[in-house]
Amino acid sequence: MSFIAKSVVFDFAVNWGDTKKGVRSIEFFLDGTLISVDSGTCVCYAKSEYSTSFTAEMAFYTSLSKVDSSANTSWLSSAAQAYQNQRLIIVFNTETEFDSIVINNYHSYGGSLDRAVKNTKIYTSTSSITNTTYGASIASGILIFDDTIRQHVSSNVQDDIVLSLVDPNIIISCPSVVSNSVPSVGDIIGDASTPVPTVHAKSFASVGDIGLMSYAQCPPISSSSTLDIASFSQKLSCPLGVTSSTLTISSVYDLISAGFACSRSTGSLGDIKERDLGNADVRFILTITGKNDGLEDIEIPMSSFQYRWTYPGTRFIQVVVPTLDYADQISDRSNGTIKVSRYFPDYEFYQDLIETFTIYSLRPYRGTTNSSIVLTGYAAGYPSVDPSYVPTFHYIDAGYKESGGDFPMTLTWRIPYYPFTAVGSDVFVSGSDMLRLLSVNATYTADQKDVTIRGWAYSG
Amino acid sequence: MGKGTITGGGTDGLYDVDISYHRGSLDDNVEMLAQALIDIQTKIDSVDSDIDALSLDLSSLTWEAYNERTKQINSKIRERSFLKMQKLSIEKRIDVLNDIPESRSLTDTGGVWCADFAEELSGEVGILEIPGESVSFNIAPSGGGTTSSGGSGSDY
Repeated sequence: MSFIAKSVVFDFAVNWGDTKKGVRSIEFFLDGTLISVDSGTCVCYAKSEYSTSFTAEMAFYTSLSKVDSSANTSWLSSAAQAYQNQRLIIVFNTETEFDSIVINNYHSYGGSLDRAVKNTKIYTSTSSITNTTYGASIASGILIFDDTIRQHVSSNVQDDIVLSLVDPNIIISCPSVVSNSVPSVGDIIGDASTPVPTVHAKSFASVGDIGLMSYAQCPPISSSSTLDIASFSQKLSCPLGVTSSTLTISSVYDLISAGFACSRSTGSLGDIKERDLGNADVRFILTITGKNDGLEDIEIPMSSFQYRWTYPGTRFIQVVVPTLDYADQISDRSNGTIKVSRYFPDYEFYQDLIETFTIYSLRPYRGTTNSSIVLTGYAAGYPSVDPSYVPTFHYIDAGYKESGGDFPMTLTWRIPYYPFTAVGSDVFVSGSDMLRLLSVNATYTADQKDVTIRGWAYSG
Repeated sequence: MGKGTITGGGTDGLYDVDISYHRGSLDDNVEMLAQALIDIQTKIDSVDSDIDALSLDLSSLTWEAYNERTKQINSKIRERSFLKMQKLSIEKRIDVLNDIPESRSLTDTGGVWCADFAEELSGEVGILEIPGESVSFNIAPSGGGTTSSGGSGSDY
C-alpha cells in the first residue's frame, strides 16, 4: 500500500493539554527508506507558528535533530491561538510516493510533552493545498489517518511513532451471496463497477436479530474503480424493528475501518445486545472525577486495571497509570472517584459501565526508566447505575469453561470480554451452564484480557 | 489467630462475638507514617525553594541558557509532583488505619461458629481468620488462644 501525494495535510484538534500544539518531526518513508525533505523539495504551511524558531518546515525537514532543544527543530503553534485547532501542510514540488509516515511528537529535552498533537486527521491530495484553515475542504483530499497520536516518551531521545495509515484503495463490494461470513479490511470481493445488488444482512455485521443495516445512508457508488475514503465518513446505522432477512443495496459499504458495517452514534445496551458486543474491539477509558475537589473530571491513560468482586462484599479496582505526567491532576482530585467506561469504536458506542469507586489509595512509583501511579478504589453496596450491571439475565457466548463438572456445583469460566459482569446475576454461558455468579476477577492490559467468573450452577 | 469477646449465643456452638483489633500496633504505624509525612513536607519545601531560585531572572538568559534552566525547573516540578503524591498516599493510609475500630461486632453477620461446636464458652476467645480476608471467622476449638485480631493489626 502506498500513497502518491502532492500535498499532505495534517489537521490537529485536541492535543495533550497545553495551550500550544507542536510536532517534533514528520517523516515520510517508501519501502523503509526515508524520503529526504528540505527547502529544495517542498513548501510548508501552518495555520500559526510560535516564532521563527518553530516554523512549519521545521517539522518536515529531515536533517533536523529529534533530541535536545525543540527550538529550530520543530513546529509549534502560536501562543495567541491558545487551544485552537491547527493545520499543517507540506506541498511537495513534485508528486511524491510514500507508504509510511513516522512522527516524533513534540518534546524539548524530553519535557513539554503536553504540547504534543493528539487527535489528528491526515489527508493526501494530488493538488497543491495552501489553505491553512483547520477542517477546510481539500481538493481531491483522501483521508488516510484519523486517530490519536500518543505523546513522546518522557526522555530526551528519538521516539518514532509509526502511524497506521488507511489504504484508500481497498475496495469492498458486495458478493451475490454471503453466508455466515463478515467481510473485513483487505477483502476484495468485487469492484465498484459491478456491484451485486442483493446480500444477506447477517453476512455483513453479525448483527443477528438487532436489525438490518440501513442502506439509505450509503454514499452513491462511484464509477471509478478507486474509492474516495473521505466520502465514506458516514457509517451505516442499525435501525431497530427491521425484520426482513435480505437487504438490497446499491452502494459500497464502509467496512474499511471496522470490518463491521454497523455503527450507532447514540444508543443504549438495549439496542445493541451484549452478545453482539462480545467480540467487538473495545477500549477502556479511565476517568478521575473532580467534583469532590471542585474540579472537572479528567480522562487519563491507563496501562492496566484489575477488578475483583466476591459476593456480597465490596468491589475493588486497581488501575495503573503508566506515567507520572498526570500526578498533579490526580493529586488535585484525591477526594475523587475512579470511573472505568468502555468504548466500542466500531459502534461509536460509549458506555458507562459501573458506578464510581472511591479512591482510597494512590501510590507513585519511579524506576530508572519507567514511572507509574497505582490507584486503588472501592465501592460498597450493590451498583445501581447501569442497566447492564444489575442482576439481569446475561447471555455470554465468548467464554470457555476452565473447570467444573456435573450439575450442581461451582463452575469457573473464562470470559475475556466481560470484566464487569455483575456478581449475584444469572449468567447463561454458551448455552450450557446457567450460573448464579459468586465472584468476578478481571485483569486487563493491552495484551491480556483475563476474566474469571465463578458461579453456582443452579440449572441447565 | 486473633481475639474476640463472646457477647451472647452458644446454642449448637454459634455465638455472638465482638472481634478485637490490635489498635496498639496500628497506632504505632500511624505514628511512623506521621513522621514520614513531616519528612516529605520538608522535601517539598526544599524543592519549592529550588524552583523559586531557578525561576529568577529567566528573561535575562540566552535562548540556550533559558532552555537549560527550563529543563531544570521542569525536573524540579516533576519531583514536587512525585513528592506531593507520596504525601497524599501516606495521608490516605493514615486515614484507613485510623478508621479501623478497636472492635467490631459480628452479631449482625449471623454469628460465629466455634470450630468444635463447644456450647459453654464465654469471655475472650481465640478467633480463626484468614489474614487479609476479614469476612469469615471461626472461634478456635474450645475457645483457645487469645491474641489481638484483625488484618493489618494482627499479631501474626
